[in-house]
Amino acid sequence: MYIFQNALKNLVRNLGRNIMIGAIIFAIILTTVITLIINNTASAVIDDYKGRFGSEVYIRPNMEKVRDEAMKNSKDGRVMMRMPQISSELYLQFTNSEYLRESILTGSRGANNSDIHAIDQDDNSEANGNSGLSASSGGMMQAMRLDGGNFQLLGDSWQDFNDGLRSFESGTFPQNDNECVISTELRDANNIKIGDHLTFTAKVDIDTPIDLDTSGLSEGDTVEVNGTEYNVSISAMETVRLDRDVTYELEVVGVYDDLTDEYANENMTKAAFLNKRNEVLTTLPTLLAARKSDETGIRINATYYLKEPDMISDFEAQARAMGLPDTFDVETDAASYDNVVKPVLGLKNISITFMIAVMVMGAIILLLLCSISIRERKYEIGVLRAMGMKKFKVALGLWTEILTITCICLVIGLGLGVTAAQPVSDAILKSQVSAAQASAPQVPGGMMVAGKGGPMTSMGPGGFMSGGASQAQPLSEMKITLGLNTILELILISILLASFAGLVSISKITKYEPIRILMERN
Amino acid sequence: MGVLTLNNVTYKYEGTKKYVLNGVDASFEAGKVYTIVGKSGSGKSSLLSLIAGLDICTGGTILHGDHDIKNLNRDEYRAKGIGVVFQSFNLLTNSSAIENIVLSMNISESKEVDKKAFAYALLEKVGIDRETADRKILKLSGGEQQRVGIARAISHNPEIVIADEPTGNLDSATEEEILNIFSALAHDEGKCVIIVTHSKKVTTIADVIYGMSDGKMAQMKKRD
Ligand SMILES: Nc1ncnc2c1ncn2[C@@H]1O[C@H](COP(=O)(O)OP(=O)(O)OP(=O)(O)O)[C@@H](O)[C@H]1O
Ligand SMILES: [Mg+2]
Repeated sequence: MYIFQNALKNLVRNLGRNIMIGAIIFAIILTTVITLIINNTASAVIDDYKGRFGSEVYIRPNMEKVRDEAMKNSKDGRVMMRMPQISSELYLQFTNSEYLRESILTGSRGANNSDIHAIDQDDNSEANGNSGLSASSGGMMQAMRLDGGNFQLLGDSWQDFNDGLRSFESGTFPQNDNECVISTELRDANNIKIGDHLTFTAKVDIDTPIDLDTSGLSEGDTVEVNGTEYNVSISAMETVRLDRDVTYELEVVGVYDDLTDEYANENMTKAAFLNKRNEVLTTLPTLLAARKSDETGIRINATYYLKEPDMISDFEAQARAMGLPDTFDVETDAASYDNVVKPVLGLKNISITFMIAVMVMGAIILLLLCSISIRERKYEIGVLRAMGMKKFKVALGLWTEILTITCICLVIGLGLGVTAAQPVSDAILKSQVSAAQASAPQVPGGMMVAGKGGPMTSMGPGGFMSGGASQAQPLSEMKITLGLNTILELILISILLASFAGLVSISKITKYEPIRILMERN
Repeated sequence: MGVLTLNNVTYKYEGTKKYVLNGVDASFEAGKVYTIVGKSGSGKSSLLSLIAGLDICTGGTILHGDHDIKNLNRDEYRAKGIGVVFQSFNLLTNSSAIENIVLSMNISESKEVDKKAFAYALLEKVGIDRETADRKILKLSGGEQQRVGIARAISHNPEIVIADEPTGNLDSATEEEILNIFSALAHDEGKCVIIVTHSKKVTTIADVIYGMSDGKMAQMKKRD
């Protein structure tokens, strides 16, 4: 007990020296406080980010590879680019991956119905055309209609209901396959009642087999592939297309009120197939049931969520093994990652570097200071030892002194550090954000495809039209918090610091017998 | 059986060749005052530091009762068994006189209930008033420091009190008072008191006088 009292008295007895030691410890603690706070907050931000964005997988065509491929295959100098497609079967296979936490699959396809009239249906134009191209002003090309039809059959596409944009006016979601939900407008225009059956027709395609001799084929012929008969159509570019008609007979089980805009933007050409009121909602299995696994024509929009963000490469390997072509990239939202995480990471690194620098310098100064002060105190220690005080008690006294100084510094440092951490972090983050923005390339909102000599077209492959758009805004502000963990870390660091300083003193004491110390002075 | 027995004690400082002590034999008993006289540099202080347990003799043995102090816990021995008045006082200069005494009592695990009151009284006894007792050692005169050193040496009521020139800085009137204290310690309280001195006056209270020269010690005739 008296050891602690004596140690506290010693603090006052040697005020000048202790203030000097205190100042150094204070500087170390202050920077440590700021660094730890920034660091922990940054880690929390990064973790939070990874939880929210980092696990979403995008599978999208790499346009550079697509172009290279097209150039290679070009025979007559004309480059014909075809947007690569992933078969719906493959999309379904990916959902089995053990690396995924969740998969959300929706499907869509165009369809016609000769019994009812679609909103904005223009009977003068060729509704069944394969190559309807719509261009909107603003330079941004919209979707190309590959599969024709005035209606869009959507499979498992319920997000608008979750978002509150659509709600049931009557009826319910489909409970079984071959049931559908339509818009109030479509119902009113055609006087449809719940329970009515609607018959939609659509086409599914099959890739022209390589071994099929297409030279003698002309429009309207039929060929058999894998036991199924297909109609031959020849496009303007003289490519042969094989398709067949399928029908969907759907029972209307619900009608929805639609708050979404009829068209995605005002400048869009009014056409039935783009009007959202013509969307007929059914289940994905219903859509898929009509096609065989080797057929295309149903666009699948798949969103996969990884269990852990760093499983991306495992997942990619697996997807490639299942047959994902090289022309597709598998990635998480790198742009958002760069936007959000890079500045925070930079901030974290700067603060850690700074802390290490201060700690190393502080430790050196502290070491010097302590060995000077111990020389000063050698006589005192000699006297105590001569009076019979045990070594460990002398050490305990010294340790108490330095620990008390540290605790005082800790309290002041914590207070000041908490106050300073926010403005310091804001300032550093600001410069980091602008640095990250300067280096990050502009993220394209859609994909431009330019065929040499051909028209410029843009298309969303398999529904990935805007999949790459970065939604995460860069972090301009990071709320600095002081958690219990941070406080504990600080206390631990402080005690280590005090012990380190104390150790220097203590190692000296044990080196000397009291007689030597006293003799040196006398 | 003496309190302290020295058998053929030899000693040389580390790193030197010359033996400062060259076969010292002596026996010290309780209830007696011993003085050691001798020329400067004859090894008196060296001998005292061995007796004080601050260092270990190079050869021979020093017995405390019948324990070789080499084998004792010498921290314990210094704290409780012996009180030392150093030639150069060795007080904590940044602390007050009273703090020095109380700290020493604490180290010695003194059973005194009110250590501070006891220390004030003790200092009073060696001629240090309360005001002086509260002053830092740095701000005390040599004589005052010497008296604080004496008070500290006897504060924990040790069996053996050793003093190196305890009256060197004192006027003869004070010297007389201090000598009375030492005399009473031995003759009334039964302590073993060993004093190194140049002063003739000190030898007047001695029961036994040792003379030191050339690292040897011999008992001298007491001339009254
Ligand atoms: N630390 C030391 N290292 C080496 N030699 C020392 C040391 N201290 C003292 N001596 C030598 O040991 C011898 C005895 O010294 P000591 O201090 O015991 O003499 P003393 O009898 O106490 O003298 P004084 O009457 O002047 O106090 C001297 O020759 C001295 O020079
Ligand atoms: Mg001497």
